[in-house]
Amino acid sequence: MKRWAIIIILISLISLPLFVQAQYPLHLLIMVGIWSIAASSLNLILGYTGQASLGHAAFFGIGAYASALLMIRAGFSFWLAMPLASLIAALFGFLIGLPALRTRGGYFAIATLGFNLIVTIIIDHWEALTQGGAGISGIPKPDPLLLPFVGKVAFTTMAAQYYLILFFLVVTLFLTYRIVHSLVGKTYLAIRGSEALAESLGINSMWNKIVSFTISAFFAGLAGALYASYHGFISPDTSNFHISFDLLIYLLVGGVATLPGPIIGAIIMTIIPETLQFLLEYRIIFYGSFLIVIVIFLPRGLVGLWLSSLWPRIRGRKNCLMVPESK
Amino acid sequence: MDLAIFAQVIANGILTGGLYALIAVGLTLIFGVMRVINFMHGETLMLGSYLTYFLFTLYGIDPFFSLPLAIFALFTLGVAIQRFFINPVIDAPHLNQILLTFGLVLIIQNLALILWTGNYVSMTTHYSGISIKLGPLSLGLTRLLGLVIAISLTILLTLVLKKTEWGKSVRAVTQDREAAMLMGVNVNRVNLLAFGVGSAMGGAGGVVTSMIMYIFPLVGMLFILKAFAIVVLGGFGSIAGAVVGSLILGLTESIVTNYVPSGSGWSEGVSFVILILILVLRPKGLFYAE
Amino acid sequence: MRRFFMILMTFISSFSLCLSLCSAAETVKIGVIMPLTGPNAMIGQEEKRGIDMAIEKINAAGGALKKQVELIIEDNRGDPTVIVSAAEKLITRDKVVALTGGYSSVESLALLAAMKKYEPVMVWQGGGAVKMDRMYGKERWLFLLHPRSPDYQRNIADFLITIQPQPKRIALAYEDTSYGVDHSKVAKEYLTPLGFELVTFEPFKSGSLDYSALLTKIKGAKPDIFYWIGYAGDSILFTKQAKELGFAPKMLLDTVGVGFPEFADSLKKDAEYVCGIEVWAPSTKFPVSVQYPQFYSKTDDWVAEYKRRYNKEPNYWSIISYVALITLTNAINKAGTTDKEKLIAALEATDTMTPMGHLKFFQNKFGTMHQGFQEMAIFQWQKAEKVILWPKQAAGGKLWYPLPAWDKR
Repeated sequence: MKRWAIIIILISLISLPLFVQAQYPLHLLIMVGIWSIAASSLNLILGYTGQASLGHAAFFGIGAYASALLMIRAGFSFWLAMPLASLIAALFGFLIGLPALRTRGGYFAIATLGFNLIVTIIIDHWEALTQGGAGISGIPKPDPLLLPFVGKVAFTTMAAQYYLILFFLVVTLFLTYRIVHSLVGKTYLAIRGSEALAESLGINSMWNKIVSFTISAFFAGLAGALYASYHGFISPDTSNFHISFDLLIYLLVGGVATLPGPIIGAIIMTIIPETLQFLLEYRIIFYGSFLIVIVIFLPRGLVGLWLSSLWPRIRGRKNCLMVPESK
Repeated sequence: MDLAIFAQVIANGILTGGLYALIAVGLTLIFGVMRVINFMHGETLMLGSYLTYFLFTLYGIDPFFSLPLAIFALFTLGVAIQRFFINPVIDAPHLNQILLTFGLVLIIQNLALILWTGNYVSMTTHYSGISIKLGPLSLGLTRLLGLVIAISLTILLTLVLKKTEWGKSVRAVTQDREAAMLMGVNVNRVNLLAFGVGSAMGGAGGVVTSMIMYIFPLVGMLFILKAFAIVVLGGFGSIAGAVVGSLILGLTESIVTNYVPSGSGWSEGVSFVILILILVLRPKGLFYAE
Repeated sequence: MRRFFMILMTFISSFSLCLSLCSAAETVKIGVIMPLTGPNAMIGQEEKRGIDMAIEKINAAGGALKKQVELIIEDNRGDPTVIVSAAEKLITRDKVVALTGGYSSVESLALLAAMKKYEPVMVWQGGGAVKMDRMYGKERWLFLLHPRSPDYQRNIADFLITIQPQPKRIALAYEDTSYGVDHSKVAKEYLTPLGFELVTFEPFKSGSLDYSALLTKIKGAKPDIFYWIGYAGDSILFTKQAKELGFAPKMLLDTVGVGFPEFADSLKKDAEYVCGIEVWAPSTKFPVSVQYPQFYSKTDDWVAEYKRRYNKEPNYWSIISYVALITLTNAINKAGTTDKEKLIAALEATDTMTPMGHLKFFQNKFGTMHQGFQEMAIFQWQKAEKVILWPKQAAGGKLWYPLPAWDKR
């Protein structure tokens, strides 16, 4: 059943640009795709490993800047810059994780937020490297690729970029799926459930947390690199902590520790502001109220609700899927 | 090195530290008791400032006398918010708590923006602009008053925590919530009052900042991140830690601004670098009682 | 309970979705981007007041091309990334005829980089950094209204040199982001050749809580003029703390942070003697426009109407946004079409008096083909009033100089 659903969704997503030619909806979908990758990356450390990181935008920004600088300053092609940028982001994840993951809970949250702020400040002030507050413009799109069957694909049209993002989203989801459903994934869930208990079973929680954090940073950096080339312009705001909060919101609304959660969250949280544009400054008040309502009434997010309440009722049985979190 | 300037730098640092302490102490109380990451704490400062401002411009009430009013008003607001918004998520995952308080921030900040406009306002009383001269030191009177208020309220709070029944239950819950419940402590009441008292301290901080600097709807943002850094530095729930952390931060910012070239721009990051350094050495903060 | 909530949310979302997709009567759509929330909300709110006043008059006078003008307003929250998405939405989804709005140079630069692809007609009041002129000034679709940072500094330098007895020592402090860095560099270029000595040249972080260290340092340098480049909050704090430290140089001068009425309201007597520079002050006296009297009354009348509507003194952001929107609409009407080329030609043919001065787009010295305004007014707060001191022909009073010691007022 599930496999059919996935195939149908994939086919509709792939054929979408044939029906939707208008620029703006494609633009929305591309942004949803980029944010989905970023939110999925956060899901790994936060949703599955249970460590609430408030600073993920740092890795998004590092990925964006690394990719942009490698392309502009070092003349690399996107196809080399992007994976390198993701690795650089992962490296920072590792380095930041080493001290940060020694703390837990609220301490860890604030520590990661602190790192995020430091990264933004450094990007803002290290003008020689990053051009500071002025930002970097004119970031090139990916070089044309020679694909089998299709021929030469230039990434100048919206449709082409849509496929690019879709491709990486699928790759991210697939890799996340493999991690989560492996022994490693179960280890993460165990750490999330109770770190003390996991340790007593012989799990090296510190090492596992660091690996999870590093992989999260990798995919966040990947999203950042994609963002940089799509948008063409980045600034220190690209690593601003409000992006970290946006990602948290996508996870909350969609549902943590679920694969479709980040995507559903990204979709909803992109559509809602669009429809409420007419509210202008009142929109943010609505947004805040919406958050509060979700936290109180839908704490598991939409996918969580589906998995724990709606789907079992449709199937006619209870689903013991969610692992309780420790504090 | 000019000793007079150095003394002034230290004095400035202490004065700023006193201001930070008012906000940090309230925040650490809330953290310690409820383990909730309270992003809306900065808004209690903002609301306290605006309350003082309106009482001053509309009714001519001096900020000094607005202080008890602000404390009472923010205490009440804090209790109400805890009861209706925070309590439902007290056992929820951190993500949910963070986003709840964040949602409150969005609402409160933007309501303030709409109601009171985004303009920067300030107050000038007959004692603004006076400086006390102590030898080579020049200390702004309003800042000194702010320090006095901060010290008094912190001492008051510490006495409450040491001597009253409620204070003891707060310390019990901070140390171990489950054990406290088993001992019959009414944790709900402790939470309510803690959030109220913490918010009241934030409101008092707002009264002080309104005397010292300027007011606008986003003024809470200038302080909240530093307050987090201080609370983590000092250890959740430790008043002493918050005070020490505030002083460390105030002094470091003052020294960096004065002695590091273009230091002003970097001093913002200083709070977080210190935070990280301390966390590497003591992941639960300086004063956490193991 | 949960199910009800889900249904309610779905209903609200789909309802709003329908609302936004269903269009009303045919209108001429103009896109407006302003920082209505976020750190620059104060400016965004000023701009909105100007825009609201303009759109009411425009539609009362028949709108554009015999249709109502519909403004599609986007809040960019002061964020350069949001401004780009906002503009792309306005252009690709809402299909607006033109864009107007803006505030900071950073946002404007981000936006212009993205707009090269679309080449929309932009009558833009945001940004004064010369980088904008260098990089995008040659674009025919761009009409910049705001004076450039060299215009600020040229006017200040020309004014300072007229002061008798001549001040020599200037302490310059600037906020450390692109706005302050840009202006301070240009200030140096204009002031040094005229013989002024910059005894300090210090950056500071806008939004700091304590400037006493900086002020002490500057006081020690014994300047004649303390000239800072910052924002409204900084200006309030500098003035307050200067008083605390007993720092009274002969002149206190700022760029944009002291023009807001709240500056004088809040600081009362302490605000007196402080000088600033603005694109426009309400006390200027421009006459009514011959071509468009229904939109461009004389300055006094415009200010009076603004005060009636909003119970506030207007700031230049209100009037520049007002003029931007009206200029655009007038050009659409003159062109008789929304066709881009004809609209650009009509905008280039603009030649009218406005309550903020004469408007005729010209080629400026920094690379921009279509520059709107370059004149600036230097003012001083005297008895809670902004008295214009410069340019001479617009002066409404004399400079109070030097500043007396704080305790001798």
